[in-house]
Amino acid sequence: MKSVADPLSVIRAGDEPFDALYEAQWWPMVRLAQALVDDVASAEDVVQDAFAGLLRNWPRLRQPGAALGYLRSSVVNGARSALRRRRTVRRWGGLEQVGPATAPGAAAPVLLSEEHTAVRVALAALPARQREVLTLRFVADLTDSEIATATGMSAVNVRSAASRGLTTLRSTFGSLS
Amino acid sequence: MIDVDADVRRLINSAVDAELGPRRPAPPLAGGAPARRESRAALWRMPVLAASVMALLATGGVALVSSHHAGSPTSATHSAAIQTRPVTPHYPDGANVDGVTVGPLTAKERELEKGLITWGAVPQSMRPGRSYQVTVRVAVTMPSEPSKVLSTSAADVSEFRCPQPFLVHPGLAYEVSCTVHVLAGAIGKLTTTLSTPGVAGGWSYGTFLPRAGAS
Repeated sequence: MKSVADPLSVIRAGDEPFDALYEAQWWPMVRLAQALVDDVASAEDVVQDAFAGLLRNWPRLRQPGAALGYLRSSVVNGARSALRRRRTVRRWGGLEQVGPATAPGAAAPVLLSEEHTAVRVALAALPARQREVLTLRFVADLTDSEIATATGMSAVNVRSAASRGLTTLRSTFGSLS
Repeated sequence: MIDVDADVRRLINSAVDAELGPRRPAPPLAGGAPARRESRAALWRMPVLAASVMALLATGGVALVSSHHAGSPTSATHSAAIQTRPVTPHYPDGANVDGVTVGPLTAKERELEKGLITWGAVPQSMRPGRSYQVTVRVAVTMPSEPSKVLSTSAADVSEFRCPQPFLVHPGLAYEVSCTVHVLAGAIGKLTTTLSTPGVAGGWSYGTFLPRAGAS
């Protein structure tokens, strides 16, 4: 039996060693961050910072499931900071190709359909908290309680934000159809 | 009736997957910790600052050179660079366009295999009726590629003033200063496009502006 006096062993006893968590959650967190910041480089930075923060606080985590919640909160907070900076950077390979192909051998472009663009624009038009709540619900598949933890909102406010956001989206997409 | 919940869930997930591409494994851990990469903000703050200083120095140099060589349209540094490159007709060179600052690539940019576009200085909030200055920096790194035409455009804004399309050359960085007026309640989008002269199509990168509040 592991010694409870060793904080790290408490975490590892929960079957969530850091390496395994990192391997399993890196990509889902990148997806979530990308949905929030809409920029691959920023998304990866946000996730990297989140894991670095988790590692620093790893010995202090007391509950086996706390690491994942910590990560989600860090990604949400990191995404908020990234959006505040509003600096967007993209390399040639990640650019959207317009018109006929012009660069043989160039990296595959990001081509978003009109539907994708519409949903991106519609979500971007929502107030920040509504956008966060719906993104966490749709992309990370979180419950209202988990969203509340990740965003620092109350469960009541989460439900309210989700409802208002969906009403707006319903109106937007209804008018488009 | 549209099932908004299901449709948005499907669309946002497929949009994210399209933007990210195929699933990638996590980068290797270095000694149990994620390999710390210099953040993009930190990566760019100093080079952009350095580029601004270089631009200021270059501008000062131009003023000095001009005072001694009346009628010379460009600085010695720029003219030397331009003389070695074929100039494609119909588009002015970026070095000769008002609102465009040309400078060297930073050390970080020179290391990149691909070019880089950075939209910067976009305010966090915008109000209709006011004008805002936004900048885009384009680092053209690929020495094997021909000169390209850089153009900017905007959607869902009331007014957009930006330099006309101009030629950019590999090995240089271009900072373009534009002015935008936003529409009430709209989310404007600014786009930078790079194309090869005489060839249809190109590559573009856009950034959304903050939603403009009611006036």
